[in-house]
Amino acid sequence: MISVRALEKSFAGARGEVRALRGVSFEVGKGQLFTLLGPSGCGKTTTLRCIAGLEQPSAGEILINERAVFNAAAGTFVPPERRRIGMVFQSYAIWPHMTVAGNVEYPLAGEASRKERSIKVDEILQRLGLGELADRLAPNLSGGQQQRVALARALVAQPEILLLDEPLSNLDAKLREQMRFELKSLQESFGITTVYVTHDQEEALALSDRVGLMHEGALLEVGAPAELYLHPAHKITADFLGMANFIPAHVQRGGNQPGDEMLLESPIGSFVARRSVEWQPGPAALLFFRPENVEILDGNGPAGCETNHGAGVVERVTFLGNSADVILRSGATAVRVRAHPARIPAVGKTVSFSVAPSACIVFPV
Amino acid sequence: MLDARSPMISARTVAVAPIILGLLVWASAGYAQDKGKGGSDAVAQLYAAAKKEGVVVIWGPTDAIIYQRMQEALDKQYPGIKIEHFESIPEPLVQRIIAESQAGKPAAVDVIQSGSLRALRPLIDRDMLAPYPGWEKDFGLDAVYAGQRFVGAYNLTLPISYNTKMVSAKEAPKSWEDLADAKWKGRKIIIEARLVPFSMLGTEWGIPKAAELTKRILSQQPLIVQGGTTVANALAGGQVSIAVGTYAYTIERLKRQGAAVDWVAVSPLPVLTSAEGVLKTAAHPNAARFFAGWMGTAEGQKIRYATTGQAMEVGKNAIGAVAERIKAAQPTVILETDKTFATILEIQRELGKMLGALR
Amino acid sequence: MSVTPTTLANNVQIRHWSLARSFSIRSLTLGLTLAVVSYLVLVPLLMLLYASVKSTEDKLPFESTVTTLGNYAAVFTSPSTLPIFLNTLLFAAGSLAVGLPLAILLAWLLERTAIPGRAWIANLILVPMTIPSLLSAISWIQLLDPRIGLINVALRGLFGIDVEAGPLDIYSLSGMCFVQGLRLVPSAYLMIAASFRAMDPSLEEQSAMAGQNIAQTTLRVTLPIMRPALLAALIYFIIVVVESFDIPGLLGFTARIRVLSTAIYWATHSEVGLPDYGLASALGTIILGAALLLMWLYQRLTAHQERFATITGKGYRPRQVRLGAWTAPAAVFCLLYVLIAVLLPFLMLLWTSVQPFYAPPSAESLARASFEGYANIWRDGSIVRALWNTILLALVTSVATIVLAVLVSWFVVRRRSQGSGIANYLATVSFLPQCVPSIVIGLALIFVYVRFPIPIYGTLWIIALAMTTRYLAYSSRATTAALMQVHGELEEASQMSGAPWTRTLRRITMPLLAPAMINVFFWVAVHAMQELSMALMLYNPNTVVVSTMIWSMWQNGRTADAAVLGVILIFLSALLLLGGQAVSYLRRGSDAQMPGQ
Repeated sequence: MISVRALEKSFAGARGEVRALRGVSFEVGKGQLFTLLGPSGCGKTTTLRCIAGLEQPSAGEILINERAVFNAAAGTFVPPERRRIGMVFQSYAIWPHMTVAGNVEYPLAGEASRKERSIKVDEILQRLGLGELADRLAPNLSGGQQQRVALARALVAQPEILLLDEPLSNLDAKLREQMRFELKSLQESFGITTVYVTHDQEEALALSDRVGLMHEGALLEVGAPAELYLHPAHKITADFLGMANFIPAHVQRGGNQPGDEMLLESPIGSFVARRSVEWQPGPAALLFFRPENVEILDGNGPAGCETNHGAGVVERVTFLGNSADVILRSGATAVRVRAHPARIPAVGKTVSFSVAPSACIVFPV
Repeated sequence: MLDARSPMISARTVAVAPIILGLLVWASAGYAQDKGKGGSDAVAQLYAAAKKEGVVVIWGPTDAIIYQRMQEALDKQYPGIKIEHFESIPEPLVQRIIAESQAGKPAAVDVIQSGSLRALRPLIDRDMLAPYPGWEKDFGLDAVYAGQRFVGAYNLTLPISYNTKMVSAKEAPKSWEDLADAKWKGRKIIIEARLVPFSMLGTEWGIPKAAELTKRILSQQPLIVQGGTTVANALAGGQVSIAVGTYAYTIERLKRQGAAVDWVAVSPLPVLTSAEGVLKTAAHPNAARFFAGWMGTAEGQKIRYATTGQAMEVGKNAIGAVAERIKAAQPTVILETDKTFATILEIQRELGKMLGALR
Repeated sequence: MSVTPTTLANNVQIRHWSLARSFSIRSLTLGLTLAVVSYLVLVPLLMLLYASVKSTEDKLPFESTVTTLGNYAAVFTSPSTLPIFLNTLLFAAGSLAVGLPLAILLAWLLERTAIPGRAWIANLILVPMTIPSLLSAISWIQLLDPRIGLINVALRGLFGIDVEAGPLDIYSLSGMCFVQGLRLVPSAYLMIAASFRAMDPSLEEQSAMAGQNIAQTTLRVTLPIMRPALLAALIYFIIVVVESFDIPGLLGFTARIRVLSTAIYWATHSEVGLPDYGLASALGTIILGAALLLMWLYQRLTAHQERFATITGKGYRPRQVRLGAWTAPAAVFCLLYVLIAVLLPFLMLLWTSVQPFYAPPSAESLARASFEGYANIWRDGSIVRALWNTILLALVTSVATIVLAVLVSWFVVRRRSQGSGIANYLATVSFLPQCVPSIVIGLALIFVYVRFPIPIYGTLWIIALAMTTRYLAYSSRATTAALMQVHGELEEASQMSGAPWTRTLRRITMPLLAPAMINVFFWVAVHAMQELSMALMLYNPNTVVVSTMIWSMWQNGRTADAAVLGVILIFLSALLLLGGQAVSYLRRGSDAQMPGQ
């Protein structure tokens, strides 16, 4: 439904040109929710605004529903007001001098009769639980209500695609979770192709059909949430999505192809791991595994020197309710472990642990 | 002359002679009374031509109300001429006239008027005015300047004025040098910023002496503001004791209204000259000449004096309180003429530098 | 090269876009705005530059054939130049030090706190602006003259000081700074107040939650975010003070303080005929240079204006700060200000209007008081016509100026669409007319329009043109500062909702800009009613306006009549102000209204 191909964009920064987008390309299927995920300044919002038409890339093309809304080479540019896109801004951008109904009706201006417009407005307001607030002046709403008004406004004209720029980042945690579900269910019931931008990896994983990880203007990886989480191809992806252990190691053998088994020698022991796409042959590597994949073994004292086993002293334990964040010190290396709340090791105790080879990945240094 | 023995002189001659003599006497008497009597024919002719034109357009600083009164009088004496007046200071008017004529679209004005002759100098330099000897010859006016291109309708005398409540007539300064006396130090004097009287003094004394005196007076810590009205009001309100740069007729008018002010006819006494000139491109030249001349006559004078107290204050046709005082005191009068333009400009520059001018 | 993809919907055409521009109403409007503003500004500007290199002894610039640097040489070699420049700097600094903090404090007090009587005080603050400067200047002398000034007399009586003159001497640099500073307050207040009003409360609330008190919040959060508005005001008023002659003319001569505008005054008031346009223009060009420098600094300091957006979608009505124990002193301060800066000068004006000549109030002068001036004034038919001309002129000028100012602001603030170059050009060019002496603007227009086929010469329109040129500087500063506070996303949301540029402007931008627009309208109208120098150059028998009438009455010694007309002008301005408030009120319903909302 949405095709983004080889977008390039530069800004004039304080010290010369900044390349905000470097050859960004991805596809979004019809009815899918695609998330652009990344830290601040990675270019995700810029990409979104390019799709919206609020920014003009210097190269590339964008097609919506097979039709080119932007093509640098051909000189095509459809202005944003003609793209039939619904957009929710991070600041919601609710017009403060109008009522809720006024805000929501605005995209329908010029279309249909007043009666029809009014029906559509009522419908969407009801759908989003704003029915009682129709006549309230926009600033007199809570954050969550404003966000829903923004959504209603974006959806009322039945756009072809929906763009969301960090819509939940200004809400408190509880509301955020609640709205997450509402958003997803709305999107599914409307079946509207959506591009979502966020820096919150939990959100991205929860909501998306596919996630695109962006870093410094480039799109690193695209994939389903589980795929990216469990089998990241890039170190940055691994680091960004969830917690990670990165342990410098030496390569003993293996690793000609991505996916191959490799043997690594690290300060915490020998580990068998699978090679990532990113790693290039050479002596050095980073051993990666996630804290929740570290199993603390019963029994006392260090185990033998088996591969994928290690031992360490419990340095710190942070109780989180549904789990415990445990830092093990193995030699000079700190290993982060996610422990079950019922089996928290005592601080100062020496424990041994193991990590399954399938959960270990080799990344470049 | 008549010899009874001479049979050659006929009775007819005897009869006619007294008549001719009488006519001559009557004519000369009329001539003495109004020089334009023999020229009164010329005036009448001019009026006829003016009447045909029907309108005179005059631009200048004169208060509109004066023209209203003049129109009333004119309608009685010399009906058929409508005065269209536009009130403004002469400086922008002069610029506009020059700019418009430069662009090939001469301004729609017949008479350009100013309270002081030198404001109209640019028009003289560019030879844009038509001389008219008739003002002198036919109207009998003596305030004629710049090769008969301008005729004056009133004077503006620049005396030293004082507040009678704060300064007695005895204590009042008798000369310009008196102003430099120590007793007037410390915000007791107010001076109009453009220092016109001192510029005029320079034409009599020479620039160095005038500049010297001005400097000394300026070091008396006087108040210095621009605008004669502000100066006069400051004096009337008791803000200062002495004022320089306001006009004598203004002081007289304030006196009539009950203010405690008066003026001294110091010697030398600077007197500015108003000037009316007819543009070469005037659409109604005859009406223009006629009206300009008429304003200078006793009739025109009377009306102006009755309305605002302005009048000719020196010269043949001088009338009014100021004129009387000047006649009585007999000071040396420094009259503004077109001969002194260059000097005044030079002095002005010199003096202006004391107050912030760059050149 | 052209590829024509299929359309998105039946009624949507794909526009071909070249990298440089796209044809749309927006770019057409940009082109028009650029053309009109450039034309308006460049005509006087070129005259200024041209005249500055002409030898204009006894000649008008376009008559003179000698091109010379002599004017600049005269400026830089004159021994008076250095003291003049130093004095000008001191005078500007002093006046701004008095006027701007006052304006900011008043704006903050009246817009952000719950001080009693807000609405009244806010209106009264603007009154001094409505008094023609000629008349208000006299009022100040009548109040502060060392010997008979009422305030000094009162002070002497109150404190039993036994001197003939004093204690306050208005004829000094500090006196000049004080009066000039006070004169700046109404305009500065108007420019700044709208910015204070439209603040996102969450910005300040965060500061409050972090434990900062009111003062700290204001200094660390509120003022910095208003930086563009404050800087714009600063730069504008620097040039205003440098260029204006009212106070230096009234007080500076006596105080023997010479400033740049004094030098310009002497150059333009030649006693023997023509102004020395060459010298005046050289001085004006130097001021122009200073203004360009200031504009460059300003643009560097306010480069990323997204930082300064305070009207986002999230909040709009800032909370009112409760002053608590400070309420009384604040109220007293406001009242004192109103009393000294507003009421006293106005009363002096009233007094002047009933007196045949000025005299301090006393039994004797009271006996002379007469209101017949007010009755007589209507008998003069020309006054009624002048009033009509003035109102028409004010309205036309205001509308033209606002339209231009809003368009200029939009293209300056939303510069992403066409690049910084054009935006900076517009911002600078719209500011420059402030530096050109009024008579140069007048002369330039005379020169151009006496030749041009456009028949505005000799009509009210040419005066309106001159004034629009002149007032564009203030107006565009004010609207730019206001527009900076409107977050760009509000307009982008409108775009994403399918609205073309014109609808976005009409339904989103302008309603949010409305408070600033009303302010500017009022300011321009009031100033247009009083403008004198350009009117004197350009007016005709048919286009006599009240300001020229007041002025010529004053010259002819009819002080009472002049003051009467001045009072009438104030009432006209008050009507305008009330009209503006009525418009605000109607727009917003029952929200409490203040001027500049």
